Amino acid sequence: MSPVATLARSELFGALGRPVHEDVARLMSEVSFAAGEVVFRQGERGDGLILVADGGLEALLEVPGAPPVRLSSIAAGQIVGELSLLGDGVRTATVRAVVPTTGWALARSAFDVLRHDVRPAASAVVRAIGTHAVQRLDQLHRRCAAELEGEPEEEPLRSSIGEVSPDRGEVDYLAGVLFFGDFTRAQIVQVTEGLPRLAVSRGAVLTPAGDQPSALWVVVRGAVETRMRGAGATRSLRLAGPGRAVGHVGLLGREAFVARLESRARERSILIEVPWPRVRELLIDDAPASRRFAAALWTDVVRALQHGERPLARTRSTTGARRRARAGV
Amino acid sequence: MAYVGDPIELDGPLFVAENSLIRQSVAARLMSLLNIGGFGLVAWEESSRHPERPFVYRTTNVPVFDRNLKSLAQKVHATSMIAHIRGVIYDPGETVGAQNLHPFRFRGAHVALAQNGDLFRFGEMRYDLVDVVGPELARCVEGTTDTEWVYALVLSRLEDPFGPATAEEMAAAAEESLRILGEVRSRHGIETQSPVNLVIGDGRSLVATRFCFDYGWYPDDDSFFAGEREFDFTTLWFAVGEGFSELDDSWDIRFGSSARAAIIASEPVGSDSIGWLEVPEYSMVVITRDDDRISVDVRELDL
Repeated sequence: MSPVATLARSELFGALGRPVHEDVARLMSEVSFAAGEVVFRQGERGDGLILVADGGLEALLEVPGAPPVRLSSIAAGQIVGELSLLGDGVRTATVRAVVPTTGWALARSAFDVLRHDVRPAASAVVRAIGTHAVQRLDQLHRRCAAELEGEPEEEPLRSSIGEVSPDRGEVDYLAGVLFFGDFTRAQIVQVTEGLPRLAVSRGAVLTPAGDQPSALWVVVRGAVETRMRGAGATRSLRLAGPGRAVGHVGLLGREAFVARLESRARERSILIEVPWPRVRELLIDDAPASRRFAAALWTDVVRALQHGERPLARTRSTTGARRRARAGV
Repeated sequence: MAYVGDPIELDGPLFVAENSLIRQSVAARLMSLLNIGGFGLVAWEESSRHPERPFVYRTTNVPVFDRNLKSLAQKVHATSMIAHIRGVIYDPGETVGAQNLHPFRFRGAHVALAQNGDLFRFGEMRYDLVDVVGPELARCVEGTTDTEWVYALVLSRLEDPFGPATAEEMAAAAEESLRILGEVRSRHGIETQSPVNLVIGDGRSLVATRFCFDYGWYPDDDSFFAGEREFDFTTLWFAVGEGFSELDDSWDIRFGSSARAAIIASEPVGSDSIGWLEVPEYSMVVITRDDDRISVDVRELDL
């Protein structure tokens, strides 16, 4: 089956339309795997996706000292490894052919050619992957919340958030950070002009647990941590340093799972606040600067998901114990 | 890199593993610089004579070409070790010399320390630390690195700076040292990103921090750190298993029903990261070995 026909029947990209399928198909190369052959290995750095045309794959979670755990099967028309087109993470599972399988591979390096050009096909693919990623991010939050028990100790509010003027030289600085790395300086101005810059003190809570994010924030300097807290334990989901965004789940609107989920400044920080109506405007607008913003945001969602899926040790929270010790309790 | 557990041949983590420490010096996966400022190792073997005294090896040579180190590593077994490859910025202002090689261990001290990090404008902080660490420890400092002063600071927070210390004492000393460094930075108005990943050990326990002052505040100059973006919060990983051994021509963690060995490294040393856990940013991992059993505690560093 041709790559165009295979793309047309794929779950993730099927709705993107024939012109997009034709543009993407030109970048794909045919691959085949014998039954039992490993396609990707867990822990390897991802470098592209596989669209299954015929046959079937399975995703296996390799667990130290135990047989692999079967996570899912990938049938004809389904895609595996799509996050690696946008993110820099490692493969979170080993993928193996169950039966002789043929398909189409899209390498990240090939897709980058399309992406840097901001062609409509690239925008459509990035949006499809990003939308999928934000749903997976939401699922990750639900899983993490289920693993935490009890209510966290109250932390004292030690915060302030105030509006500041953009730094002189901000545009040049932003051109060097992740989110704006592909923008021209003029595009940075178009997208950020008029948006509030917030100076946030260390410890300031941007979104308390249980609240929907009131805006999307792009970190200019400093860092904001998104995390979940239970009784005596903390699960860090993402530390967003310069050029990373905070509040992605707001893209899902009121459907987003926000129990236990909080975002707070881990360092004093400067943020660009993008209100949700402006985010939605930029996501549907066809101007080059808006398309750059959309690509940057969807790419950042993938990075956030990959960050959240890291094999991270759970930390024991010491804040309450330390406070009690200081108080001599 | 640091290890504690049943005796291992040092060749495994230093040379044989697919992403061994020596390989990381020239081709790190999570770092963009060649680390060619020298190599240092302290290793303890509990069945040896004077087990509290470590075996020490330091060289300013690039270790990938060091035949002496290779042959020693193939012979020497250790129940604990701290090894460090020094990365320096490519600048004639840097001092590459034996006195600047980690891990630091003052003569007679039980505790040793190495760091992956860089305290921005440390030259301005150095003399504030003289009073804090006291003359006895300050006199021991021989080199020009920030790390040797951090080491002296950590020792100064121990009840007996040169004596044995428990894991909890080393952890408390590390946390208190970070707090003091933060205060000194504040006094000097230093508000630029400065990673401080420490590993501290005494042959029985290991304490390691993944910490950064003012993360996300890059220096406003053309320095290396101003341009480093991708892995800008220095990484730290660990793995705990039944042991470490060569499996399928690759040295890696061996899992089983018991926890008898633990390794800490800035990146997983095997062919992949399966079984390894990343230490979260702003936290500290404390690894203790009692009756050949390893226990691990990861705790938040909210200074």
